[in-house]
Amino acid sequence: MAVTTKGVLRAIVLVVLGAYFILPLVAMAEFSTRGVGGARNFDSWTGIFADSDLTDSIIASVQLAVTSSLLMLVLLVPTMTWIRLRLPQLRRLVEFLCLLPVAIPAIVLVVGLAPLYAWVNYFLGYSSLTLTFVYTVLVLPFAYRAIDAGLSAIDLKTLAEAARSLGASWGTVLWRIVVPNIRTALLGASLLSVALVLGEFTIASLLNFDTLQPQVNLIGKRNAGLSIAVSLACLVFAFVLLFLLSYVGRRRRVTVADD
Amino acid sequence: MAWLVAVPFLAYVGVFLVYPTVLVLAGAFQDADGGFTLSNLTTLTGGVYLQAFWRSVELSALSALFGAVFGALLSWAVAVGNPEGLLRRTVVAGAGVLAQFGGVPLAFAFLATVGFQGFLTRFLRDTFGLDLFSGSAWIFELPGLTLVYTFFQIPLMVIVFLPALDGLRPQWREATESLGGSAWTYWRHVGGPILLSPFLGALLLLFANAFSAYATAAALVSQGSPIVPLQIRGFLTSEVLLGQENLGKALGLGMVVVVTIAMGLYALLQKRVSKWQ
Amino acid sequence: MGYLELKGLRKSFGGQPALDGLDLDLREGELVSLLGPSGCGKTTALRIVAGFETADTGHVVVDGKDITSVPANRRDMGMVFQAYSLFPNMTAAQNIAFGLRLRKTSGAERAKRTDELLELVGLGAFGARYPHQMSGGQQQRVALARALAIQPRVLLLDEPLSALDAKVRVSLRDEIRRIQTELGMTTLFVTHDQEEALAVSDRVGVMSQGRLEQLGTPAVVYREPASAFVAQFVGVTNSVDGTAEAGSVRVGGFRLASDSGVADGGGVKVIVRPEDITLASHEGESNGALVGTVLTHSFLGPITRLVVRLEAGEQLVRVDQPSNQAADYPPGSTVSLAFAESRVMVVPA
Repeated sequence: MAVTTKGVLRAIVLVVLGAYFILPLVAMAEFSTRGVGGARNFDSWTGIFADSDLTDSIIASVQLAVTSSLLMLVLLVPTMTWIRLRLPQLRRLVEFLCLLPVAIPAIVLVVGLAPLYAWVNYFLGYSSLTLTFVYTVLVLPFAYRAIDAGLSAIDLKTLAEAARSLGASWGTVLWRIVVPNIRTALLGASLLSVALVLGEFTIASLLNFDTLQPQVNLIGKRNAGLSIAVSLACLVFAFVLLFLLSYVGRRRRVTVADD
Repeated sequence: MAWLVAVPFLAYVGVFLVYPTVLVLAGAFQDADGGFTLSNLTTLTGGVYLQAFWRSVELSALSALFGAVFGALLSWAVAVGNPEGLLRRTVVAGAGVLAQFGGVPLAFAFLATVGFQGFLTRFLRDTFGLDLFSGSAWIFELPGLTLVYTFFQIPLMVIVFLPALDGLRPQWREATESLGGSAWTYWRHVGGPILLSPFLGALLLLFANAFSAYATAAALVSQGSPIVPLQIRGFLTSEVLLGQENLGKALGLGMVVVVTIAMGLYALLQKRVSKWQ
Repeated sequence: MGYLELKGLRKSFGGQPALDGLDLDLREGELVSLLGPSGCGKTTALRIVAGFETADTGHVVVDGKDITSVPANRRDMGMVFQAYSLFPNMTAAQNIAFGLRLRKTSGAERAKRTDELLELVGLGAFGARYPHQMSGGQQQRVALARALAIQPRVLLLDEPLSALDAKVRVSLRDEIRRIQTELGMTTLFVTHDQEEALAVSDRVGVMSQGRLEQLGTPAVVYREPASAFVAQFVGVTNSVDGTAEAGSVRVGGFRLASDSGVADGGGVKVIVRPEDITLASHEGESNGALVGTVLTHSFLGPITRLVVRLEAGEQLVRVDQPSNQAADYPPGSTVSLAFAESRVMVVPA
């Protein structure tokens, strides 16, 4: 391999920035396993399972991740498909609404949500699952872009017309034609939703719900080792999710073979 | 008839996004009795609140600048490599985690590294006798916040800027060479100008991102409210006089205005970029 | 000794050979096409000449000087890519003037030359337009002007027309040929379109699997193909199954004198072009004639292409007839076919 200026520069950038990002991860691993006299102590890690508040919050967050993803899919897929096929004039509005959360910081949104959630809790009881409603909204920008890309990649109009001409109802078109063909986009949108929900702190903590991140924050005040162990676990888990996501979005396959 | 299908979505977004937003934006203009007033806004232009805004701006601008420059370099290092390779996948996944889902864990990572008992703090003290803190708890103030914000700004830059680098067609580089140009010529006349708009756009996005950020700062700073998001926290958590609630909403309005301007400029720059693709 | 010489070029990508010993000489002012299917190595060869790839072994020589190890930006060659090569941040005029700017040509000289070139490619009024404001054909003309601006020693064209509409392709290829001839520019032209190659070239090099199968003028490559591959890649051909028999070839009842080199009883393929088959109305028994039934007519203007189903083995054969005679052999009629023996190629099956 020839040594080029470009190659050297590239190596320097990767090494320096690599160290910058890996150092805290190493620090977290080291901190959370500190024992007496330099020995490694894994109490902080085993403690994760022993802390019932923590495990409860993990379960709550996982449930939320699932419900939010489902609600997002149920809400977005039919709507976006319908917009493309029958209501193109609404496209701008829907796109605007889906990208709006980007302009409204969560910290501002939660101020307006507080009174609204007083009502929600009144009707549905006080459960962290009610956060599903908000999280679905927060997820909209990411999910919209992913699903939009998926719908753009298939010739939706032609497929729908072909199915209708063969006698399919709209429900069939949606369930048997659209969904299977945008599978990877839906998977991508769901993975992003899961990661977002598991990492969300602002709204959950300020509405006083006990999901994962607020719980980690609380732990930080009383048990540094445990909080850092959980934080590292969160980061690693989210990384694995997104790493797998990169294999989900394959490059568009050539849809016509050579003669 | 066809409009019926769109109703659930529109109603849902209306209730859980538009309504709370309107509550905040409208509330900024209301006094304790619900009447129209500009006093909330005028209070913001002075004292503690104005300082908080400036600090937020400072923090956002600095972290955006560092993030943009180093993020661009990292993006370049990744873009010239194998598009399906391990390095790229790892960097992109890692960037996604740190940029968007970091929040609280990031704050703790920061403490684990340069906190009072941090790995690096200890290392420097034991090996070189250097005390990172000599007197000030800078990590809980603006310098510390800037450092930790850069930690999620660089990854965000990679996410936003990498596509722009991917959009540089190899034919442009080869055409430059066949016409007699060098690497420098290429970057100066072709690559640089083409990347300028995406770079500025990314810078704006990073600014908006830092300005809106809450979780990391909230986890790090438990006392005091140096920046606007933490001030809003104060309004939500502490005992606040009835009339003062709307001041918090005014702060929210201010944030929305800043973020919207930044995002608006970003959108304009994006349009310019797509014209050339 | 040619002006541009490729000597023994070999190149593999990750163990897969792309070029397997390519030798080619171009005379000054000549346009030679490299023609072949994708993967045959033609683009690799071009990129080696341009300097964007390095050959594993072999040399590239221009005007007597070995430039094999000269970097791409000092080879003084003009290159036109298939698509997307114009700098999007510059106008057509700025694109064209780019090479001149690098050579520190004065502003006035640059402007003059740019205007000349814009006129040469027929885009006199387009100087201030940006690439995204131009059609594909216009962009490629600007790309050509840009490559010519630096007065290169050799012009390299990498499938410049492949991304364009059919009509634009034809008119633009004629223009490229006109300009090339006017300027006397030594040109290497890569394409997978055989009609294109035959239309513009002084000589055509047909490539397959990294090797040059034949190099000759368009007429020679068309009428005297050196191999079955060349015969079938260039122009339209029929491939009819037959059997070798005592120094000749039998197709159905028809005997063709041809030493195929295949043992008696072995299978052969007879390769013949539609215009080299003559028809006659046939009645009654076969009697040593090659007989078939006319299935369809395709009217192609001056020629009508008939599809005939042979009795022998139910094979389909295309036969060209001048359109005013095609009515003599309507669909459904029985005909006998004769192959012009000197125009036939026989290869083992």
